[in-house]
Amino acid sequence: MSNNTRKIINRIWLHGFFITLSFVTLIPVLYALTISLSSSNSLLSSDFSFIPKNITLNNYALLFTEYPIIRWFSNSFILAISTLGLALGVSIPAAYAFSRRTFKGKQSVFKTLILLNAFPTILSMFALWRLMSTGPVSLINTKIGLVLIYAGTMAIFGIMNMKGYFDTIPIEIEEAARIDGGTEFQIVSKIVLPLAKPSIIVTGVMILIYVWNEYIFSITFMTGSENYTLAVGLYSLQAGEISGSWPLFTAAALFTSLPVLIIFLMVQRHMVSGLTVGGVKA
Amino acid sequence: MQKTKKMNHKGFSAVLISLPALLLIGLIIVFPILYTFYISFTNMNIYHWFTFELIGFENYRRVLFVLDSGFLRALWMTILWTVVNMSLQLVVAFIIASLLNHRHMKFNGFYKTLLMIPWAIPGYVSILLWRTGMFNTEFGLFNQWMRSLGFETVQWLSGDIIAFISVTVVNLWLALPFMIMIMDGALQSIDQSYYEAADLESANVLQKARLITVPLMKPVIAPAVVITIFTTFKQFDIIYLLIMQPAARTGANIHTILTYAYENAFITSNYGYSSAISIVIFMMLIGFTLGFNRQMRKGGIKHVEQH
Amino acid sequence: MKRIMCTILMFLMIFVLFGCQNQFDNDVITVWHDKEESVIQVLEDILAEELPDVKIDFIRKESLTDTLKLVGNDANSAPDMYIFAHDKIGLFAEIGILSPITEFIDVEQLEEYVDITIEGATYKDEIYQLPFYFETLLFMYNKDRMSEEEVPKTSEELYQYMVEHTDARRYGFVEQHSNAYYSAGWIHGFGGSLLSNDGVPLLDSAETKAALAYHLKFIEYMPKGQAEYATVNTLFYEKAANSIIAGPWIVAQARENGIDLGFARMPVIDETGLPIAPYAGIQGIHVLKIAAENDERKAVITDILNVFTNPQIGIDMALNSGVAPAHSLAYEDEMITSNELVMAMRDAALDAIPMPNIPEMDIMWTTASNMLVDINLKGEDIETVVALAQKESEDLIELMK
Repeated sequence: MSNNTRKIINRIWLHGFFITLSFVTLIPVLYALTISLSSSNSLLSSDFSFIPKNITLNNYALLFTEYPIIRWFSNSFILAISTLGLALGVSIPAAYAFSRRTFKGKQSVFKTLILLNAFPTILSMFALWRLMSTGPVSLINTKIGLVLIYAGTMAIFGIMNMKGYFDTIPIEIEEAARIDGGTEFQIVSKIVLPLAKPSIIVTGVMILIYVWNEYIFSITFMTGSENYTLAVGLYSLQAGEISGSWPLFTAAALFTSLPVLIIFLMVQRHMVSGLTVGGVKA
Repeated sequence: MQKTKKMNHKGFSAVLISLPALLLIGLIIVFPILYTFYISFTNMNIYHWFTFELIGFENYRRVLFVLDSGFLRALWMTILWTVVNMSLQLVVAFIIASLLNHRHMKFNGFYKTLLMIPWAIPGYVSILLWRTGMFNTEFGLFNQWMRSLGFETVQWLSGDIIAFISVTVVNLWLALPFMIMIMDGALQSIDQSYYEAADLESANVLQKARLITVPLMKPVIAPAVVITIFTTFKQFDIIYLLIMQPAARTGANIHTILTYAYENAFITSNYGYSSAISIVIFMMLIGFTLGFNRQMRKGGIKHVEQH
Repeated sequence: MKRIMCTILMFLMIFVLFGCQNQFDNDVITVWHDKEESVIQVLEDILAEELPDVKIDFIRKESLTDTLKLVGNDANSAPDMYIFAHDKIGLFAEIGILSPITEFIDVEQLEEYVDITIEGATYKDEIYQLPFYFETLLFMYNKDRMSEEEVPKTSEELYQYMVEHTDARRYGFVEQHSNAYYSAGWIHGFGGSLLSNDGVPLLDSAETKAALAYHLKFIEYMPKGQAEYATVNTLFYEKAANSIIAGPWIVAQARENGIDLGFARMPVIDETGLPIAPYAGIQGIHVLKIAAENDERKAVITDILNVFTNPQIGIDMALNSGVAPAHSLAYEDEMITSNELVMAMRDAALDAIPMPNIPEMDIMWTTASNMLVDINLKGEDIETVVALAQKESEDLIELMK
């Protein structure tokens, strides 16, 4: 078999595999999409088909006319950006320090950080409430309080994830740069950080998804429909036995998921490692 | 050979620049644990909500009584759950990520985005959809297909074994995107020159995977894997909402530690007691981790010699 | 460069957020609820009319009960009142965050309320809720499939009907049989109960066991293997089930699907002569202790609650949302007497039993449901399961102390 033919057959296999995989993965999503486009309020019916009988965009329209979904969106947005800023702002230096520097007790601190993950965060609700409500200014029902909670929850992951990546960046690069002159800060920000871009982006996406979809803390700490994030608004639309409309709920769910997907698409090309593109050959 | 040397450099003090992070973590993660620990020694419950007092180890004594066969079964189930899910996630994510990074693979950004969609949808929405839309015995999607293919309908969530499989499938659906992304990033961090060298030695695909890819990926994916292990162990939502919620039990009994603790402690609103159980579970998990770690070290880490 | 930008952005955000903090406006009375807009609208309208100067804020709060537990007596984060079902009264009263409603309203005014509503609102001889409306389960049927003569009056008639009308494609009758809320009706029909008034589980009483044993034969003619709301309700909506025991919340959807709905009294259990007596939930407003401590607020709250004793709100809520008013005078209104659903519920109230509001009930929901699932879905032996469930309930209740 010639090399070209092999290439083509390989390509067909690969694409076939992935198309099937994607389709299978997307079945529940397509199901949700169908429900969101139908006009009758039923999740189940004996004659379900993926093309709904009466297609309507009404549910999506309702999201904008009946509910302050734009407000919810902006709340989620503010929380996400702030958490990203805080979490990345504290984790990146810490990850760098854990990777490059040795200091007394580093190993044990790191190990402790990993072990701290073993505590289920839902159990922390009460303690965190106490924490947020004592003090001169109550942080209950404030965005700052939530940002602190979110950033704190994600910080450990951020540090661990990025430290691992920093570890794979050869120290020689920094040494070479140091020889060329320049302050520590310049070396780190202009050389090391760009190389760590894929890891920073991955961590950022993780944090974004967490904040975007988080509702347990939001529901408890924030009160009032104007303060809802998208996740909480979605929760309030939940369809259950007694109330709620499935088409509206699925429409809201899909709407909530959309920004994350768009971000992911946009961020794709930045996820290629800097090392494999003209990096340093060992 | 790539070695990462650690340096004790002047410049920013390491402790200083990690301080903000450590402070934040101390506040948000460590403080609740300490507070829970404190409460576990009090008698805080609905009869003493604001006026609780220290009662020593009384709560822990009660916890010991509860460590009965139900708890052990839940523990065993949790371990099984974690092992099965982690293994499947690692293997499947590795395969998919490797294929995505194949030389001949174009458009992988497009596929990656499609495969990420399960992750983008809020978890409990997906679980609701799976439970009520897909697995429903009368009207669910799966059974409608079974019927149209001429098979008997299956009660997907009613028997212990099949329920376990169904929940695992849903969990994989939810968790694989993350794993794939991590593996993908790790694969890209591997210097291509290693593969080129291996090609010169005519190594085949399996050899390349075993001797180059996996060892080099390990340090990069280690944090994510560890966190996922913990997350899987602590999982509550997916099992509870799919199977165990009181109003809609399906007949399978696959309690994990956390759902068991929920039904046997948290619903009593006895905070002192619930805190004690939480601490016990926490200690158990730490114990397992440290024990497991020691096992790994004893087994030895094979050093891969490159030539 | 990027890092500097990030840091700056971060600080900017923090300053912006600081400026936009939500401060509690001390003049506004806050009321938390988890009801739909249509219900709250009625309250807002009548207040706008009667007390136009009062500033009141109805805030929808998800997971209301969990947050109330956290809020406790903290003036900064606690609401003044909340609207919710009556079954959490015991819990909150024991915690110590509720104020008896009799501090604001004269007891005589409460005498005009339907009996079960005040019963539900009372805990340890104090009344903690001002009821608005109540809901309970009804026996509903599809008039096109079940004629009026066929409507079963007794449980044996129901069984006969199911035997005759159930085949591979259709069910005579469906219900969520393994859900404690629904099953309680059958248990009450045998004179049993999940829990005594002092919080002693009664799962292993002879009556409860008799109810469970009797009910098994009905399950044979219902969908195999599961009984959750989605399946059961959809079967009825799709006209694949001729009758159902369900709450008023399915009425709208059923009518939308073109079903001509009929309501009937619950069948009577032949053996005992008692009707199937389901639980009722009573929705009303409660006042938090912290709100009552301030004299000014207390005065305002008293005014508000007095406005709420007007039977008109019950009438409006019933007409908007198909619920049954708690105030008995509401039933003299013409619009109400002509509303089939509301009158059916009023009749059901004669037999229904309010959900126990004592704290121990929290446990019973879980243990009773587990018990039902084991007996009904897994087919395990009644004696063993009941004994286990009883012990479990006793242990857990013990743990509450």
